[in-house]
Amino acid sequence: MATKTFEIRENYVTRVEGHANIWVQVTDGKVTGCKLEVPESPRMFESFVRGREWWELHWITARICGICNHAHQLTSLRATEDAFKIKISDQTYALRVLVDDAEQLESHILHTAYLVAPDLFKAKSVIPLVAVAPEVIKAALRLKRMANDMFLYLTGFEVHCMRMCVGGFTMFPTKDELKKMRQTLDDRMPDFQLLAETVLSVAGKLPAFNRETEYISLKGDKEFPFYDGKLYSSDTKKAYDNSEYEGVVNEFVVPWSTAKRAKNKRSSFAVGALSRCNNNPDLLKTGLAAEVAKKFGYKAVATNPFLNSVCQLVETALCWERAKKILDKLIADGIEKEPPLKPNFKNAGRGIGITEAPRGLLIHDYTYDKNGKCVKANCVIPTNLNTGNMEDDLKALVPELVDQGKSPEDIKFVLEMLVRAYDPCFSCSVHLIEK
Amino acid sequence: MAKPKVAFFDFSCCEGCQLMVLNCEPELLDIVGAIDIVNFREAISDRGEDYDIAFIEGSIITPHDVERIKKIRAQAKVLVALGACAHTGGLNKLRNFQDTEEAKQTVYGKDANAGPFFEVLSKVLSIGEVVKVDLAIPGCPINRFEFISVVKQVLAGVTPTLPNYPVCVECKYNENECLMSKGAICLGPITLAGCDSRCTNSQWPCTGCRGLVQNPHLEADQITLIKAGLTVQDILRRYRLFYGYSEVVK
Ligand code: SF4
Ligand code: SF4
Ligand code: SF4
Ligand SMILES: [Fe+2]
Repeated sequence: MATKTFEIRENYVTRVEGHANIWVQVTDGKVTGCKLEVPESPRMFESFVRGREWWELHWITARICGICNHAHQLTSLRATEDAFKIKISDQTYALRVLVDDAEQLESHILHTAYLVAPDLFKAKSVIPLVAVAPEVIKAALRLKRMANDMFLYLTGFEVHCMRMCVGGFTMFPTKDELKKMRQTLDDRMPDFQLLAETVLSVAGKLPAFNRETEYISLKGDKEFPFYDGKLYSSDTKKAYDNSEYEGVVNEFVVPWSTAKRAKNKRSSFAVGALSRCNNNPDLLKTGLAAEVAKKFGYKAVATNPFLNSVCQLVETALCWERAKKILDKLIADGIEKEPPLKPNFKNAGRGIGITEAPRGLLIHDYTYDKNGKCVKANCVIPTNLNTGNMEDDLKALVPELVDQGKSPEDIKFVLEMLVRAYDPCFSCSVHLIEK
Repeated sequence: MAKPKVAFFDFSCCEGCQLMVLNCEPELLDIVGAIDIVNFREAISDRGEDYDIAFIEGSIITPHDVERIKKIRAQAKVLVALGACAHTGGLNKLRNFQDTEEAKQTVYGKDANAGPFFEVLSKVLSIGEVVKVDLAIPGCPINRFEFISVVKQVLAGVTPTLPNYPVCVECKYNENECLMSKGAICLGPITLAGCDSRCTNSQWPCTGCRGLVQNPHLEADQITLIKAGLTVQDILRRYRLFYGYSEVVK
């Protein structure tokens, strides 16, 4: 009979962004201790951006996270523009939504192919998969390059891009570049289908574990929300104003984590692809996204956190089709070389930007003075919002695994898989703010 | 010949430089074929402790970081600082111009010292301030072509060298219209080249992420910036973003 008293300690979970440790203690089959520790060293962005200027806030805060760098810039720019009451043009809006779609594509493909797929093949990384499934890996590399090339054309660079600025863009893609992007989205479709089929072929290995929780995300009206939408909770079934966010995320500190925790109606809540899909089922009823959802048997409301990876594929399909639509329109209308709108310092005040980063809700909240300098900043990061929920999942999952007679070694593997499923970004997570 | 064993380690940073390594999609399979990656926490689960070349990303922020980097140094034959955070401390050093306790309280409030993970050094350090660094690949983030060229040279037993001229040289070579002539403030004249002037190519001023060029013409630069309407405080603020490691901003 499998031992029912043991301890698991996994320092520095691999294939996640940033650092986290899992600690679980089981005594006679009962969980007597369980912590998800985040020992990430605090870099203290919210402190050192004070005194910096309006034009550079997004340039600095994007350095919170390389993987979500475009999401940070998009959110930061929304906050600064809100603070100065700048109303961006329709063209800027369309280009930003397109950049956001490319961000989701890049990040979701990285997560699915490099970080999650190895678990499903019981491999330690994507490298051995090169020998097992070379065509799939090459397809994934091409898909990631496609998204990265979109960045090169739209924002100038893959990581910490230069062309997005307060009030607009410094430079625009040429018509040829728009057409190239559009064509590549068609050319790479078979690669996406291959990746999806491959994940589908091993999707049976996703653990069957369900735990209902509160799902928090943006909710869209006509468009699936990444760049835009209303803050929404599945528990209260209420849409909130941006200015009410603090009362929804309720951040707090636990001693074993430099990433802050968050809770609303329960001890924790979830953000990310699963929450977005669960909260926006009406916007997933058509097109490729609906097909992918159907293939994987995803239906709102799903309560298995491992399905986050499936929802990421659904969203990849959605962003793909939306990107095509936006590009078609930009090609037809042509791009106007609009100079960026400048802030009027007389309008300076507090501004809040809320978007959906690939791994969940992202909030930047700045206050500027009449010289255009930042006097206060708060960044709420998706992984912080999720760590409490991950810990609650671990607490519920361990006894199930013990009952199934799994060895501590096997249990550890599944727990790591669970943390990975959330696509966490712990380096991002420790740059939170003050009360 | 046995493939060289290579490890990647991350300290405090955004991991964007490791991502730039993963972003070498066309070359990635060749790189992976030429070396034996034994440790790359962001991408693989193996954790080999036996390696020849260590790429280090990020700055040293906690006492624990100090111990960890010393161990890595003792093992690695060649230690490469990957990106500005490792090379110069990058913009993490902005914190060095603030009071540490006050900064912590700004972020964590009354919980600023909630547990052992919250303990930080009074100053953010670059890797070179703690252990010997053999090579550095500058930039925030790195230029992936420079990374590939450094890897190739190290594998061939050649010591790579960095350019020793300012970003302006690349910018002019790329036939960009100078942003300064359009009223922008650009640190290209005193910043180390090697990024192919990637910011100014996109009409965004150089903010100095690769650090200062050797023997920068600081006086001339400051005169230009003052003529452009900046105060001494403004200049310091600009310089501090990425030159926080240098005496120039003290
Ligand atoms: S140098 Fe810049 S891109 Fe690289 S890890 Fe540091 S903050 Fe990120
Ligand atoms: S734009 Fe900047 S880098 Fe280019 S020439 Fe002018 S000062 Fe130099
Ligand atoms: S132009 Fe300046 S800020 Fe931009 S990448 Fe080059 S050195 Fe860094
Ligand atoms: Fe992140």
